[in-house]
Amino acid sequence: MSYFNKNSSPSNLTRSSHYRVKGLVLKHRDMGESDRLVTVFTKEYGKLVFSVRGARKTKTKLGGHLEPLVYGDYLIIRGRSLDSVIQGQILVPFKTIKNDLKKMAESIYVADLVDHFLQDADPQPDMLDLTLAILTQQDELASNGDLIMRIFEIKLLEETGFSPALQRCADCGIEINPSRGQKYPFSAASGGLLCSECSLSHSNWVRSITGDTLLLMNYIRSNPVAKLTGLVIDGDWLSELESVSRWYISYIVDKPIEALVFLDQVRHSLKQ
Amino acid sequence: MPGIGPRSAQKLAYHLIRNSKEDAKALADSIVEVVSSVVFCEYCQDITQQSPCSICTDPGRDSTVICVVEDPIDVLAIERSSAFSGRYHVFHGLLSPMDGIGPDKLRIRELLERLKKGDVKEVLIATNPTLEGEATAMYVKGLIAPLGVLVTRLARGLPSGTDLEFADSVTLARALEGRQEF
Repeated sequence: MSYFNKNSSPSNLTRSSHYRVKGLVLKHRDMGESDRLVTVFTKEYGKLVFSVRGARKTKTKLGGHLEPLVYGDYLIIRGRSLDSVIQGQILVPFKTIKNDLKKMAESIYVADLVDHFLQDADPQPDMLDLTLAILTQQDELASNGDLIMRIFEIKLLEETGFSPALQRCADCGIEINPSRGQKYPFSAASGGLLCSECSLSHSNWVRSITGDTLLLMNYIRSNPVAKLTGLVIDGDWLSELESVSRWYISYIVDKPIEALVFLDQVRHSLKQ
Repeated sequence: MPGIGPRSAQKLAYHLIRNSKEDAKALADSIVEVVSSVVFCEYCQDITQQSPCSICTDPGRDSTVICVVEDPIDVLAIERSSAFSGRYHVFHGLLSPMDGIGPDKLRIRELLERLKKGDVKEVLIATNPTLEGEATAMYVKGLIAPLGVLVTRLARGLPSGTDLEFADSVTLARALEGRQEF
């Protein structure tokens, strides 16, 4: 995404010189001497990029309000090429996340994934609600970050229309009822399970997946986030789910998810 | 060049052309001299003309305290305060997960090597109070903690000369947490 994409401005949606948005700051980047560009996932207009004048100065009124992983209420003034934030108020700071390295790395991965899946200026209020629900769970002191990440990945795929076929063959549509202890061919290219006949015609981006993990994916898909975060799941089961989710998402996104590298480095350093 | 857009570059180019050739050549010579003579200090990784740098060889400075900063420019900022008499370590960046800047791209390994020599008692992490600065601080703290060295962080709170009403809730909360007897 270009930081200077003029189309990202919602100026065509409002005639006023000012407008107000509520949104989650996904990332920021330094610009010029002391300014910043911030990417905000707004409820009203989707993903937008704003400039923030003097955001890096010590006496800025806005810097802290526009840090990544902050949900805030912002007043925007329209600009010629880029709109600017002129006032801000933090609604949810997600403070616990920022005091814990693993939670922070996981939450940055959430923001990075959302950034990859979102198109500019395309309102996705349900996706924002999902992201905020996930970050709210992450912000709990005793949360299980590994499980929350898997829930987020599956729910995000559902929200964006990439949810894999888990109960029928993704190619021919024949019904498949996964059972525990069995293995099934899963195709990223076709978008889900394959029956034994269709799997013969696929060689790339196909892997096997256990019925246990398929049932878990189905369960996560059909229940709300708040009901899922308390689940106690065997580590091996969660590992397979992580491996499948990452593999499937990497096929869809088709470029490296940089935050994932950092998350793995943090997990590795914490194990030592 | 950071901070120089196409229009600024054009203005600079015309300025050089309009002025004397000697001035332009002097500027070019200066740039060549800076690029060829500046090295990284073998200890603190700051930019210097001679390694070790003047701060690392100054016997008057406390060698048991190391202040870790993001960039060489931060060393200058802290030196201007005249409130720190220890030594420095420059990372030349911060962890930036979404930009693919991981620990291997910063000079963290060099810091750990300095600490393993055993003279240092305190590492003051003075990275920016941003998400990237906090991520870097927490990551480095995790690496230093097993070495038994005290890790401290710059205090966070309100800058002098500002109005309380404009402070964001995170900064205000940090200022309240870090309150001191008056």
